[in-house]
Amino acid sequence: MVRFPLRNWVALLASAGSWVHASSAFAQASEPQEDAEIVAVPEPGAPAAKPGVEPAAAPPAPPSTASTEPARVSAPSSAGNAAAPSKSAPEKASADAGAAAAKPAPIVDISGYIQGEYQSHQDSEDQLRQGGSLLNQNRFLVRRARLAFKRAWDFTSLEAEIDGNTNSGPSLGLYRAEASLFYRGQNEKSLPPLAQLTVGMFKVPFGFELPVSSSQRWFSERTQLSRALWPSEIDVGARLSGSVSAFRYAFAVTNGEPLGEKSGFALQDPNANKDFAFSAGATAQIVPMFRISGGVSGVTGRGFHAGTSVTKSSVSWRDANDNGVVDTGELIGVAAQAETPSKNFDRFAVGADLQLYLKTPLGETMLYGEIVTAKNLDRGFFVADPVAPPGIDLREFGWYVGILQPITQYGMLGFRAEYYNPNADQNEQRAAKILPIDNTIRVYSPLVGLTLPGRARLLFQYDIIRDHLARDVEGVPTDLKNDAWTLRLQVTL
Amino acid sequence: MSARLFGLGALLLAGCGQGQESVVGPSEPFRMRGNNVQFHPGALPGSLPVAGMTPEPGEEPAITAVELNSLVVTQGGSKNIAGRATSNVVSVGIALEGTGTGYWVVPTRSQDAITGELTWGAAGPGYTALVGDFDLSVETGIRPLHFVAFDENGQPGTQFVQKLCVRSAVPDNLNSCEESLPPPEAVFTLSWDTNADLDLQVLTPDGKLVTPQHGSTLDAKADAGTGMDTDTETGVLGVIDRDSNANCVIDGVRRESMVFQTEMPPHGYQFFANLFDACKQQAVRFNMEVYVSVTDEDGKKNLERVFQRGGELLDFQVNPGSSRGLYVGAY
Repeated sequence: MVRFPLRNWVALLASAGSWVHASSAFAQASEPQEDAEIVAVPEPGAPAAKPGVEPAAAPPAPPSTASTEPARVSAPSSAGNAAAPSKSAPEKASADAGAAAAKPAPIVDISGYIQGEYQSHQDSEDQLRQGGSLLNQNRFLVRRARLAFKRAWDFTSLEAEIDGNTNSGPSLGLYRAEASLFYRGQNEKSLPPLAQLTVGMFKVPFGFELPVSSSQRWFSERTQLSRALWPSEIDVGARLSGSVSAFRYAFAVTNGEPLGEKSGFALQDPNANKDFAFSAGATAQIVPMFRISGGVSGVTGRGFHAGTSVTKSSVSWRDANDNGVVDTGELIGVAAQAETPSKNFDRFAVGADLQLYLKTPLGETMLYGEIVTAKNLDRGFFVADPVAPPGIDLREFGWYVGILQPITQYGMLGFRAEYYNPNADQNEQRAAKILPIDNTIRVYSPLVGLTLPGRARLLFQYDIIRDHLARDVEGVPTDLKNDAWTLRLQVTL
Repeated sequence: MSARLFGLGALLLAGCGQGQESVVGPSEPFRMRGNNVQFHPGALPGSLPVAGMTPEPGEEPAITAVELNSLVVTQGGSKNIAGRATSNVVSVGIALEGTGTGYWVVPTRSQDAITGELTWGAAGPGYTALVGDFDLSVETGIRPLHFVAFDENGQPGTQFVQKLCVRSAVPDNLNSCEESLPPPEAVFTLSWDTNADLDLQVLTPDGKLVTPQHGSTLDAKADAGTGMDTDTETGVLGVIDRDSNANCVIDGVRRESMVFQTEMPPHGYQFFANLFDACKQQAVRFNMEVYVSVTDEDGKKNLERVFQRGGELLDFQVNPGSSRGLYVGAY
């Protein structure tokens, strides 16, 4: 047994403390000894394949959750860039030596993209909604302008991404911030690590559509189902994820208040309960021209019903006879109101996804779909609050099926059909009868796209929306005329 | 393959553009709001009632009662509208005659415990009251409000007509609806477009500055700049009717009028628009008008506009003091 005197422990702790408080320059200089820098770290936790990537660039490996293909602005390190251009060995050695002498070691990977587009909506009007929001949606907008920074070492990595857009006026903010520890195990660098712990702002691991980068997705937006349950992909928390052979897994603990949520608590947490999400899946190459991937996902947590504050007593005027004059009996005393307490409620979602890939002479056809059932999880569309009257749980259900067919490496045809029911149990009173209301929304989205491989996309998408947001002359819910189309140009850094 | 794709595309495009138009109809001069109210373009269905004939109960869907708190509404104002219908009615269509491009539909709700009829428009558990909004562009005068009941097959019954007085936003003693009621002798009125606290200031010929804070020619103080006798009690009685958006408590009226009820004022009044508080608005555009009572060939009195001038004030021109605002004109 090796003896280690107490004074030695004290000295060790003191030296550790001084290391922690060392300057960043010192840390930079000393870190490569323990955690050497590498070029790129594919991230686990994402689905096993990208939707709609250019066929020539579709690898069997899981994609990064980073929102763009990395575009290096500094020279790759010797940790290896597998995609380096092919040269003869002497040429390469000479070039590498020259590059190493001429350029500093890589500092950070920078990637980004801009999506500029024109949208047209049938329900646009040249008016303002009550409260001042715009009813006109026929407009040009910068849907996303993203810039991501990443640096990775042997066991750690950090990523940050900022997002600018003009969706509701000019906006710029932090979109993603991930600090990660990982252990690669036997996994190659082109694969996700065996295990990776990430803390920060990241994409919630649920299903196929949510973790995929908006720059990789061909359809202009996620499905109505996905946007209703997750107004944005991002939440704050911790995630453990990884890949073992053809299997992948991810488990996340988050605040449960995603970015873009309408409650006013986005990325905060009004209750101490955390949301737990998991995702597990696998990829299999059945035959050389056909592969399949899929997974299951789940999330559970507790939502928050905000209470109200106390109010003072006041006097209210009710113009009972609409004459604009205060008459007898029209002044009403309003007593002070006690506060109402906040309450939590349970919510969950489970889902499954499947992707089929078939190589054809035109390119790799992708057929994919997902099905989700949930309770009280709608946070972006028909916001679920079972505490509010009538005090019943809201059951959500939805699915989608999509197909993407590359036409050589320069074109893309696609079609997506989606279904979402935000409340399967809603009813209303009409003509003295309690009648169920059909809240379902069906969207059919054909798209045509052109690609400059690895650099730019031009797409046109038409959304045929069939919902029940209007009323016919009998007062029965009917389809609102609100189809939309999008013409988008995306250029990647 | 390409033929199939073309066929699929044609099928999809054939389905494009279906559906009901806007729910809210914000461009309409007569709008309705409430739960599940829907705007429909086109004329209100159903036949007009024949004088002296009442449909037999149960024969067709019918409106049996319309409940209005009063039969008067002001331009730019709102009115609760509710009523009852026969038991075979599933929805009610509503339109203001000669106004807008369509009509509004609201479903019937619960059963009236006393009459057994179906109610519509009234507030209830989970439902807000049905409210009609009358834009400033709605013409003044007696305006027929048409109602029609639809059965479950969408078949309309005979229309029910309720006449309504839409009175002018300019105070006129209801003269626009009832000619026998004489209008004021004169009205100086200032209106504006954004929710700022703009004040009408009127400098009387005898040097008194009438403002919403001292809203009568009797209790107004002499303006400091005139050098006139502050105790002079001359001139006719004119009263400013309100202090709209006072201290940025927004009432939405955006109009202040000085009304001379009994006596025509002499010439020599000067008008000022004073931006008391911009209420976070960048600018406010205003319109100053003077109406006087005239008698037509039939001997009936009505208001006629004799002066009008517009202008604009910017937020840095705010003047919360007692001094005069922007000079607009004189009458």
